[in-house]
Parts: sequence; C-alpha cells; structure tokens
Amino acid sequence: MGSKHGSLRKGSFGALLSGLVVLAIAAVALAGWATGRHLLASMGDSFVPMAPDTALSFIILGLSLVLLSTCRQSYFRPIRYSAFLVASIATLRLVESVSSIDLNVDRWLFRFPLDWFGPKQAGYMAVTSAACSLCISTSLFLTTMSGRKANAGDIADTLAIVASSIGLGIVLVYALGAPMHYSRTTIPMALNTAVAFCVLGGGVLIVPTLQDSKVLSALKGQRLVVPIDRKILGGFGLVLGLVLSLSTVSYQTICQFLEPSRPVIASVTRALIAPSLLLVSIMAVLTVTYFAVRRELAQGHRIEADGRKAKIFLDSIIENVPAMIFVKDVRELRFIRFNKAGEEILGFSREEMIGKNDYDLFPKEQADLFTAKDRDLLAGNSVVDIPEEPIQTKHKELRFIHTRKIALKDDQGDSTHIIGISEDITQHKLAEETIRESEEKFRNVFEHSPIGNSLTTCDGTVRVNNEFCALVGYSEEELSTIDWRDITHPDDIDESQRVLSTLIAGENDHARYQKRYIHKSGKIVWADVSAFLQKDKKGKPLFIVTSNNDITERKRAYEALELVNTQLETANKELESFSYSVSHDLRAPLRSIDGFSQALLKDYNDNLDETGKDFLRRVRAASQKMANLIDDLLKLSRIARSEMHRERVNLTMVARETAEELQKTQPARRVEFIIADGVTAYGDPHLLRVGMENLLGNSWKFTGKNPAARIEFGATHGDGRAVYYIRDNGVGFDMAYADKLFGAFQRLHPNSEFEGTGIGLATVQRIIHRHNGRVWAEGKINEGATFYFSL
Amino acid sequence: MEDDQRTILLVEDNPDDELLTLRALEENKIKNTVVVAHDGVEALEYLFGTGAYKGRDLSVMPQVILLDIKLPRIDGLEVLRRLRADQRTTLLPSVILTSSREEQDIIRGYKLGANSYIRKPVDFDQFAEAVRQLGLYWLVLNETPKPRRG
Repeated sequence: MGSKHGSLRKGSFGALLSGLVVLAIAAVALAGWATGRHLLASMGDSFVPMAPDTALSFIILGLSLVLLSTCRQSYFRPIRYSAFLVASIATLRLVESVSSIDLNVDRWLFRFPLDWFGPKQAGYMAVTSAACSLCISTSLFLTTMSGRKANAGDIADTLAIVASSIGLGIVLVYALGAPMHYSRTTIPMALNTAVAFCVLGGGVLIVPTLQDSKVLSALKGQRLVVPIDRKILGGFGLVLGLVLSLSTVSYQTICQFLEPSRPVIASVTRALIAPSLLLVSIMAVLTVTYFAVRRELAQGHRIEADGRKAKIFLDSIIENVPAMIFVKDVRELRFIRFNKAGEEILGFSREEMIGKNDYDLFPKEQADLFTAKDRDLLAGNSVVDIPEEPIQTKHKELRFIHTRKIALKDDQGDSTHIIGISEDITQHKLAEETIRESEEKFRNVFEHSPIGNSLTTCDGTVRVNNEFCALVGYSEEELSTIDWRDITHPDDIDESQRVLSTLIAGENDHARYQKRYIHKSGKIVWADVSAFLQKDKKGKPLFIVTSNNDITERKRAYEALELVNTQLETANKELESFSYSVSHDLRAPLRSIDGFSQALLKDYNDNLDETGKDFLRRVRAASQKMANLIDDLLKLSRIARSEMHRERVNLTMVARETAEELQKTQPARRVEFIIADGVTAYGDPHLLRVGMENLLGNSWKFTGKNPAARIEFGATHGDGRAVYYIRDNGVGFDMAYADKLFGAFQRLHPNSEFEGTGIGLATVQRIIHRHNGRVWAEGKINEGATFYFSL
Repeated sequence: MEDDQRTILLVEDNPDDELLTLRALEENKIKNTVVVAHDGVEALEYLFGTGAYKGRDLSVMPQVILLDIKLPRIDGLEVLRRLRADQRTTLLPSVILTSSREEQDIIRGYKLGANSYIRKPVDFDQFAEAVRQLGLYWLVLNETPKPRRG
C-alpha cells in the first residue's frame, strides 16, 4: 500500500487527464457543428455524429472532472449543480425517446436540417448516450457526496463502471462493423461519444475523493473489508455494459429485418424494447449495487460492532489500569483522555481535566516542569522517564508521581499525541523520608550522645563517637586498627567475650555489663556497657552497638561508700555489744549498792540514827533511778537500731489498748479517753505502738493532777497528709520551751512533781523520724498540751 | 523452810551477787544446800563429776540450777546447751537469773531449754521477793522426774 499522498496525486493527475481528453473530444464535435464540418462531429463518413447536446454535456462533465481532480471541497457545490444540469438534459432526452414527444432538445444549440448528414437521421442524442450521461452525472454528483453519505461513493463508482462499459461496448460494435439502424429513437451512440464515456467513466473512477469508497478501494486492490467486490462489481459492470450495447445493436437489426413485412410489430418492438432494456439494465445495476452495498454495510456493521467491542475492551483496560493514564494532544498539550486512577490520584474528574492544559490545573512551577518534559519528548525522545515529580492535587495536597511519557506518531513519523503513565509514589517517598529521618535521628543520637557509643559491623568496621574516643583516649582512626581486647582490662576480656558471644548466638538481643577499659594514658576506666545486636529480617547479625557510660567516678564513690558501710556495720556491732555490756555490767554494781544499803539498813538498823538511815535510803533511790535511766537509754538505742517493717497499723486499736493498760496501772484514776474510730497509719507496728504508748503515757502522767482528766486521740489533715494528734487537759507547758520537749533527758517539770527520765518524748521523736515523719507540740501552762505527728 | 537434801546450784561469777543471792535465800528461809560455781567450767565439772569435782556422787543432782549468762570461760548459755545435750542432766530445771533483758538473750535461753528466765531487779527488796517465789516454785511446788542413772 502506497502512502496516502502518493495515491492522491496519481489519481488527481489521471482524472485531470481524462477530463481534458473528454473536453477535447467534445470541443472538436462542437466545432464541427459550429462550422458545418460534420466529419469533426462524426469521426467518419459512415458514422453518426455526436449530438450537440451530448457534446455540451461532455463539456460540462469534462470541466467537472477537472475541478474534481483538484480535490478542493469548495468546487463540490458547482460540480453538483453541473451534474444536475447534465442529468436533466439526459432525463429529458430519455423522456423524449420513451414518450415520443419531441422536445427538440437536440436543436436547442444548433438549428440544422434533419438531412444535414444525409439520409440517416442524425444529430439526435442516442438513448444509450442519454443513459450513460445520466449514469456519469449521477456518479459525479454522488462522488462529491461520498464524504457525507455512507454508500454514495459505492453507487457512484458502480455507475461510472456501467457508463464506461457501455462506451467500451459501443466502441467494440463499431470495430466489429455491425449494421446500425438509424431512426429518431434508435439512433446509435456515436463513436466519439462512446470513447468519451469510456474515458470519462475511468476518470471518475480514479478521481481522488475525501474518502475512498469501498468499491474503489476494492478495485484498487487495497485490503478492505470485502475483497470479492473487486471482481463481482468490476466484472458485472463490464459484462452488463457489453450486453446492453450488443443488445441495442441486435434489436436494431431485428427491427430492420421486420420493418418491411411487419411494420406494426417492428414499431411496437422498437417502441417497447429500447426503454424496457434500458429500464431493466438500470434496475439490474441498481439491484446489484444495492446488494453489494448492503453486504458491505452488514459487513461494516459487524466489523464496527467488533471494533466497538475492541474499543470498549481497550477503554476498560485503560480505565482500570491502577496507574494514572492521560493523553495530550501535541499542539496545545491539552488533556484529551484521563482515567479513573488519575482521578483518584489528582482529585480532578475527567470533565475537569479534559480540554485543559497543565497551566490551567497545576501551580506554575509544576506546569513548567511538566511542559518542559513534554517538549523534551516531542524534541525527539521516544520515551521520557520522570522518576519523581511533585504534583498538586485538586485539594492542594502535594503528591509525588513517577511518570513515563510516550509520543504517539503517525505514518509520517510526526507526533500526534503524548501518552503519560504515572504511578503514585507518595507513600513510598514518605516511607523513604521516614527512614531517612530515622537514620538521621539515629546518627544524631549516636554522635551527640553524652555516652561513648561504638558500632561494629560483622565485617569488622568500627564506628565510634567523640565521647567514646574521649573515654578510651584513642581517635577513631586509631581505634579502627585496634582490637577491642587491646583496650580491655585483661580480667574483663573473658566476660566481655562471653556476653558478646551470647548476643551473636542469639540468646539475647540486648546485654548489660560492666567492664574496665585501659585508657591510652594507662589509667583504668570503668564503663557501664549496654550492648545491642541488630539483625536483618532473616535473623542474621548485622552490627553491634555498644553504649559505654563512664562510671569510674561512680565506681570510686561506690567503693568508698561500701567501705563506710562496712565500717558502719562494725560500729553498729560494737555499739550492740556495748549496749549489752551496759545492760548487764552497769546494773550489777547498782544491785550491789542497793542490796548492801538494804543490808545495812536491816542488819545495822540499831547502829544508825535517822540521818544515816535517810542517807542510805537516798543511796537506794539513786541507784533505782540510775537503773531506770539505763533501761530507758537501752530502749532508745534499741528503737534506733531495730529493723523497720511497714504495714497498715490500726492506731485506734493501739490507742484503746494502751488506754486500758494505763487505767490498770492506776485503777483509781478517772480519765476520759476520747478515741476516734478508724484511724490507721502506714508504719512499723511495734515502733508505732511504742510511740503511742509514750505519748498517751505522757498525757496520762501530766493530767494526773486534774480530777476531770481528758485525753483525746484523732487525726486531721495538713499539707496533704494525715496528721495524728493526742490532746490532753493536763498541766501543759510553756511554748518557749517547746523545742526542748523532745530532747533526751530534757524535762520541763521537776521530778518531785512528775516522775520520769525525760526519755519518753525523745523516743517518740526517734520513732517518728525513723518513719521520715514529723512530730511537734502545742501547749500552754495549765491548759493542756497537744502532740501532733505525721508520717 | 526445813533443811533439805535437795541442792541448789548457783552459777554466779560476781561475789556481790553471790552474797546477795545467798542473803535473799536466807531471808526467805530457804535452807537447801547451795553449791556455788563461779564460772561455766566449774558448773560443768560439778554436774558431770569432773575436774575439781572428780568422783562426786552423781546421783545427787541439784533440784534447780540458777544460771547467770555472762560468765568467764564458758558462758551460761553454753553451759545450758551442754547439760541439755547430756542425758544425765538434760531434764534438770534450769533458771536463767541475769542482769540482761536483751530480747535475744531471752530467746536463746528458751531455745536452749531454759525453764525460766528471770532478770535480777536492782531493788534488793524486789530481788528478795523474786528469790522467794523461785524457791517456793522450784523447790516446793514443782515436781521433777526421778533422775535416771546412765
């Protein structure tokens, strides 16, 4: 198949040539009529001449063909008018011959005598000529319509074939020298007319039109939808033309033969057969054409349906591909096609996209980029790959796409469209960004952490941060050539090796241990090491990160503390044995003092006067007091040393029990106890009991002189914690000495008034302090006292 | 109270305390023989008929042992442990009579099988009262199994 332009030019030239030949033949004939030289019109003495109206028709048809050969659409309208004019003339002539009404159509141009050409009646347009003329003019008319009507071109081509075949047949008749009958209605077609129809029909067939008809395409041998039409139509047209021309000749012969004997039958035959044949032949042509065209159309419909299916299939593919697909025209780079995935990515519907270009839709800098890539593509690249381009969606959201652009080209190699296929890589890019940020974070943490970090990959590459360099005194370069064992204290190598092995063996992914590094300067650096093994997805070790916290100072402090603790423990033990000695040994002499004083008083009673006895009693009282002091001191030290076991203690119950016991010591006293219900505290039950006993005992003692004594116990709140109180209406105290209340051996009242060693409140304070609590007192002389404590 | 064959073993290193204890017994008319051992070793020699007491008639065992804790050489708790470990003395009533009121001494004393634990009061009158009650209880009221011969 040749190129479209080539066939157009070739066809144009052939048609132009045909038109000119026809014009020449007709012009010669007209010149003959005009000058009276009939030879010019008849091409031979014994031949009939071309009728003047036939010649005129040829002039018009020839000119039309010349115009048509230019393929200019603006000429189509005049061509159609011309064809209509010629068809009218031919129709009038046919009407004349069928109806026997003489409209003198042939004489309109030139008035000439009927015998101008001798006895043979001449100068009339033959019926066959009229039929051919009608065919050709109709054919021309339809050719100009071939772009608009589906089957106009096919009919036009068929009619042109018929006309040129008739012409060819007539030429053959002349060549065979068959006898001709000459009458008004049966006059044969002139030879030059027949030649002109041959040429004209051929010219119309090959003239290029807007769109090749299927028939012509078949004739041209192009691969079209119905290949057999080439033979059927071409052959049928040819055969029909020949049959018609031959039958014209033969019926003229029959008529000539019948004329003398059966003039009536001959005239009837003549009158009926000619139009009948013509009608039959025209009907045959039309029928064949109709069926051919219908077959064509049916075929066409089927193919169209197949095409439509294929189009739907392709559309569906384009529509459902999970990537944005768009098509742009090359001239203005406007979108002409857009798919569903594209709508999803960009948020624009296809109605919003189609007909617009990048500048209508996207920010300028993006549109600049897209357009630049389009230009690149059109400048000669067949594919442009844009791995990442930012694009703003309808909702002003920024996405990233990977786009490939392809130029679609026509036969001439000129680009007609740009196809783009884009994939949304926003998620991917965000993930990459996240990974990059996370890597950066890790690097920052690694580099700028105040802890010495090292990262050792399995191939032995070592990375360390500045802090690690500071820790061991080596630079990163030096460390890359040093084995870790060389900077590890020999006693710690085995342990470190063991820990690292368990990490690599996968028993743990994390380990914490302490080791000693040997600093470049030789000093020992203690490090608290946290080691972490990073594995890949398959569990293969990738690298080990260690974080080394310099704990040399801490270690030193810890060692110092341990020493102090040991010393303290020793001291405590010593204190314990001291207390034991005090308890045991200090009392023994007191017992002797008391015992022998008593012996003196008893055995030597008569030898002592009252003063002597009084002295001895004082000795005994003093030793008793001393014994009590020793006991209280021991209690106090025991409280300081005893272990604490905190639990919830019901203080209400402790207070009630203590009150009962106090009552038992002095059953005669009347004391009103007001003890709040449900008071609890969290502390050591034994110590709290001792404390409560001391405080309540204190109140009991100092209300001793009040006949309406009252002791209260309860709890309030202060500073967000429970504050317990014990209030009495005893002798109270002077607030000026409040700070001395809790000191050991501190007493605010003379012993003669209230007995006591002055250890009780000191014990209470010790107990409260051991609970990290606070104890204080409020009071006024003779108005009672309130002791508060919180834990 | 009458003179009695049933002896009391007093283990006491402090002569003052020894004298005061004897005086308290006397004041309470307790006439039993009092054997005084001045340390743990002497006490054990007496009980098992060794050393200074070699050949002593071991059928005579004290009715009650008054045992101080803090003693030279072998202390009172060790004496207690050893006599509880020996079949001949394992059932002897032993009363710890001491100055200490340390909780741990009391606990250890009872764990080793002391029958009583009494702290010597500083006040002699109270001490004498305690000794009186001791004598009444261990020498009169309390029944002990017949000593068995090994």
